[in-house]
Amino acid sequence: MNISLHPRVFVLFVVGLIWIVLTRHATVDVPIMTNGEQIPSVQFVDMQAGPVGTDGIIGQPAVYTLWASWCPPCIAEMPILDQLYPELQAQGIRLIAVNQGESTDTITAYLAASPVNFEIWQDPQRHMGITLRADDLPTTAFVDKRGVVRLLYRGPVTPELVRAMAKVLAE
Amino acid sequence: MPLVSLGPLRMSTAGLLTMAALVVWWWWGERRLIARGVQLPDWVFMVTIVATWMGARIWAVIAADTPVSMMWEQLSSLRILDFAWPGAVIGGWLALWWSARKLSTDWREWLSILAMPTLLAFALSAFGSFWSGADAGRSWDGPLAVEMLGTLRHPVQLYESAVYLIGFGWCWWVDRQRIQGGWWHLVAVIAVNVLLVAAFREQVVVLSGGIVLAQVIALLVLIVAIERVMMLRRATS
Repeated sequence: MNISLHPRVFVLFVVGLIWIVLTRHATVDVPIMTNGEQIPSVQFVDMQAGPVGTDGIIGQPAVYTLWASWCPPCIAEMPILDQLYPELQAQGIRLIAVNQGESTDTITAYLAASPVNFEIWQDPQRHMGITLRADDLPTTAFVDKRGVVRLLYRGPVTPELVRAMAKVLAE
Repeated sequence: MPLVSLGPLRMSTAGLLTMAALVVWWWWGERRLIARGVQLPDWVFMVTIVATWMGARIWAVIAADTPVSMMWEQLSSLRILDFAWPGAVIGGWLALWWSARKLSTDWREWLSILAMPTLLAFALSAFGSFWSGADAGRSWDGPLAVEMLGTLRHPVQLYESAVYLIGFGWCWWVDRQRIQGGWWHLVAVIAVNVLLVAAFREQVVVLSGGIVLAQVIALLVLIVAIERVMMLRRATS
C-alpha cells in the first residue's frame, strides 16, 4: 500500500502528534487504594452535616458504595442495597452510600423521591472517588473490621456478590 | 437550574438550546438546500433528527453500562444529560445515508450544503451545555473555570462552542469560494474539535502513557479529510 502525505499535511500530522503527547493525561498523583490495602483516612459529612469518616468505622466491617443521582447504574443499585441492608445489619456490617460531588439539596431531593434505610454520606470534593480511582460509578469497597479492603468492585453489584462478600467480611 | 417547568417536564438551558439548534438546523438547512436546487421531503429532516437523538441515547446507554432493566427509560428520556455526541454524529449520518439511498441521490452533496447549519447547531447546543453547568473538564482554576462535582474545571463545552463557531466561519468561506467537497471540511472541523477539546476532558478513554484515544482517532480522521480536500482541489484545478 502506497501512503504518501503532502509535506504540509505531514507537518500538521507531526504537530498533532506533539499536541497529543503534550496534553496526555498524567498519572494520578494521589495514593490509589487497591485490594488488600488499608483503607485510608477520609473525612465526610453525613446528611445532618455531622462529621464522619473511615476512621470511625475501624473495628467493624463495612461496605462503601460510591454513587451519584445522575448515574443510572447507581440508581438501579440503590433498591438492591436497601433490600440487602437488613441482612448486612444482622451480620454487624455497616452499609454506607458515599455520594460523589453532589449538593445536599440534590441528594435530599433524590432521597425524598427514593428513600433508603442505610447511611448516606456526602463527599463533595470526591476524595473517596479519587482515592479509589472511581472514574466510573458505582464503585463499591468491601472493607473488613481491620480496615483492609477485601474487594474493590467497579460497576453495579448483584445480591449474590454482596452476600458472598458479607460472608468474607463476617469471618 | 431548569428554565421552564411544566408539570413533569423541566427544561434546562442545555435542553432549550439543543432544541433551538435542531430548529435552526432544519429551517436554515432546508432553505440552503432549496437555494441549491435540492428539494428534500420533510421526512428526511425528521428521520435525521430522530436518528441523531437516538444515536446519542444509544451511545450514552452503552457507554454508561446501563442495566437492562433501565435501558428503555434511558432511551426514551428527554434529558440532555445522557446525550453522547459521537452517537449523535453516527446516527445523523446513517439517517442521511439511508435517506439518500432511498431517494437515489448523493448524501455527500446534502452534507456539503448542510455543513454550516450543522456547525451552528453544534455550537448552540455546546453553549447550552456550558450555560447549564453540565461540564466535564479536567480540574483547573483558571479565569473561565466552572464548578462541577465540587471541583473547578476547564469549560470544555465553551471551548467546543468556540471551535465550532470558528469552523462555521471556515465553512462559510469554503461555501463562498464554491470549493468542492464541503462535507470533508465539516468532517475536518469535527476532528479538530475532538483533537483540541479532548485534551481538556476529564473522562476520556486513555491508552498507555496517558494518550487520549479520541485524539488519536481525530488526528487520523483530520489527516484523511485534509488529504481528500487537497485531492479534490488538485482534481478541479
